Amino acid sequence: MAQEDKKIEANKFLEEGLNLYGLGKFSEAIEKWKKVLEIDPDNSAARDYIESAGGDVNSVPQPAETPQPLPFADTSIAESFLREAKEFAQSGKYEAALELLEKSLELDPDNMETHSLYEMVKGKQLKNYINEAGQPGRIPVLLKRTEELLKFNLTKEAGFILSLIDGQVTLDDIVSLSGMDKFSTYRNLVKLKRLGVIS
Amino acid sequence: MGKVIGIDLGTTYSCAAVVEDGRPIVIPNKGGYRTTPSVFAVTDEGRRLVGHLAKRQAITNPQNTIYAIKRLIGRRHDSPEVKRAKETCSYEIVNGPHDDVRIVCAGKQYSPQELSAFVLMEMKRAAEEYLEEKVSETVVTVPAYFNDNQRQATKDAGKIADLEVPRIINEPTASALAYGLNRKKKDEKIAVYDLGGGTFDISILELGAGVFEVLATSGDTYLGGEDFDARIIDYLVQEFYREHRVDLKTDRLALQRLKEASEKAKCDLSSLKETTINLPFISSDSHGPKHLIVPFARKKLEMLTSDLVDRTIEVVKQTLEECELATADIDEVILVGGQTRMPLVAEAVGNFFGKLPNKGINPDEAVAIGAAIQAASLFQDKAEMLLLDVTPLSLGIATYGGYYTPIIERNTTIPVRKSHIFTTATDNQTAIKIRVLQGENQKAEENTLLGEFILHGLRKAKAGVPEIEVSFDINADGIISVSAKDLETGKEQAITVTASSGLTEEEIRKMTEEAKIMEVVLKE
Repeated sequence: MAQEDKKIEANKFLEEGLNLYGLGKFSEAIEKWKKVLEIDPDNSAARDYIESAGGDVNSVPQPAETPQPLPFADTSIAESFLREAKEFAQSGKYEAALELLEKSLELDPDNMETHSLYEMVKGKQLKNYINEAGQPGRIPVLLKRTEELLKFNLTKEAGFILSLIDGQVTLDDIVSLSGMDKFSTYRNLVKLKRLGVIS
Repeated sequence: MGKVIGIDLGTTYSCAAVVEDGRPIVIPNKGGYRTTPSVFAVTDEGRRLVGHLAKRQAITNPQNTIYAIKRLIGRRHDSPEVKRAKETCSYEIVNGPHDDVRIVCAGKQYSPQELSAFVLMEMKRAAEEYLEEKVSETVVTVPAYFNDNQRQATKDAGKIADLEVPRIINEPTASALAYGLNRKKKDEKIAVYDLGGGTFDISILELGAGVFEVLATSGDTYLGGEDFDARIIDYLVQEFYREHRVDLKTDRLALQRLKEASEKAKCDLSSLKETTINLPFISSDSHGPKHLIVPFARKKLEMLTSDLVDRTIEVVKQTLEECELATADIDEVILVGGQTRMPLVAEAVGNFFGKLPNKGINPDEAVAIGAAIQAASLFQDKAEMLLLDVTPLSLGIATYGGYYTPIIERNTTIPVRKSHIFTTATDNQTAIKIRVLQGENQKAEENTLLGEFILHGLRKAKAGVPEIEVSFDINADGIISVSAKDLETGKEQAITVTASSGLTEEEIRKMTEEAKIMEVVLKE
């Protein structure tokens, strides 16, 4: 298999693994990532994912012992963001990782590895956001008057979510009405909660 | 036996009412609202929404939000109304298996009857919660111009929603009932001006012996409160662009907020002279958030929308002319539909007719209240029962030269039987074809064909000699039987015509089952 084909094949398994992970099928996801390592034993993303999903990285092919060029020897800014993000992600600091990954994707939008890690970290952080926001059936309440709100530096997405809060809609309803994906909706909700704008 | 409720199944909003202890009461929905948007949606996550929630995500989820289904119910796929809907609707409309209409929503095809049933189910649920008993029957209102197929389709929507519809009544008639005009001692002519969320209807009724006859009905199925909202949205977009150089029309989150704010501001200005439209964080960029704060006066609203009001008055004028009536001939004027709350509308109608329109009942609830009164009357003594069942359109047959001869005129109370003698058009003609039509146009082809049959075995004779009696019989359930009898030989041929909504019994049964499954989803 040509080097380029190998890369495509590895990326395909990487993606499939992420999709399965997103569906909660962890063991099937690990199998996909193991296939990535069979093709490309140096693929650090697959290795990280297996670890994150509770898999055993020792049971998969180890990286070649021949000296490899240091991955970040000639890094772009995007790559350095990615590297830092990985460190944050590994230590469970997903919000910090997400911020860096978003910056990295702004500079290098086609980087598959960044995309894959971004999706995975999003999945993990979503669970945290949902825990922080509360049960989906709960009804958020606005704590600030309009004139007080204007002092905050909110995005239009957060503004839209605020406009949905009418004392009747539940968190689940807001997810349905927001026109955003579940992650973005919860991210904004939690941000508003932390700012003391809603409870 | 449970209570029979009345439902105004509207183009943009629906409303349910019931008569309790002799008084009509509007049934609020779960959120406490007295009307429910006639909107159905499926979200990206597969969640089904009906009513307010569905409406609140209409702009952010346009392909899978179905609204104004009333414009399509009982229509053929090749009708001009469906063609127009295809041009204007954000959802996909496709050809159904019976040349009827199907709507694609989240990859699944739905008939208009099913989609209307979802709204009816919401109304039924609200009624059951309110009354704390099962509701299995409802009177449903339809526009006066609905033909038998559209009426049958509305009945089928009820069936899918597990609701029997013992009676369908015309919306203007229901409004007149809500105002108690049926109790008037003398015969009167009533103008019902109905400007709802999506449509405008003007109907001229004549009350005689407890029966409301529709003398004329006209309108515009694409003119309503939403057009007023659209004018406000355009104004706000322009104001914001002038100040910030940002085009909110390209931002669906902003548009959804503008839509809701415009509707609210319009309602506020029905009672206030001025309001402020305040949409914080409507936009944001690297410089930070941008807020839309626009003072909005009733005068400004009137300036933006006066031509829409003028359009309705023009239709009223034409309608009166068509039935050869002057404004002085009209005894009562009734305002129906939420948009008539706008003072400019009430003023324009009052000025045109030269008399104050009837007020006192919420204009967006009058039709449902009338339906509830009709529903309650179904259980009263015969003497007190409202005589409201009339043929909505004339029935007749096609005659030589492509003409149409009505045998039963529209607004005839049913049950009814009427006959007419016809003859042959050519010498030695031994058979005649009876084409049963419904409509008001002199040209046969412009009316709806309900059925046809051939009477064979006529004795050979010169044209005009044989006498063939054609009889129409409509029973209390609206079933039409047509027969043709050669009076010389006694030979007879007949057919029974039932209105078709476009769905077979089997399809309705399947949809009813599916709707029940969906109900479980809705209650989550």
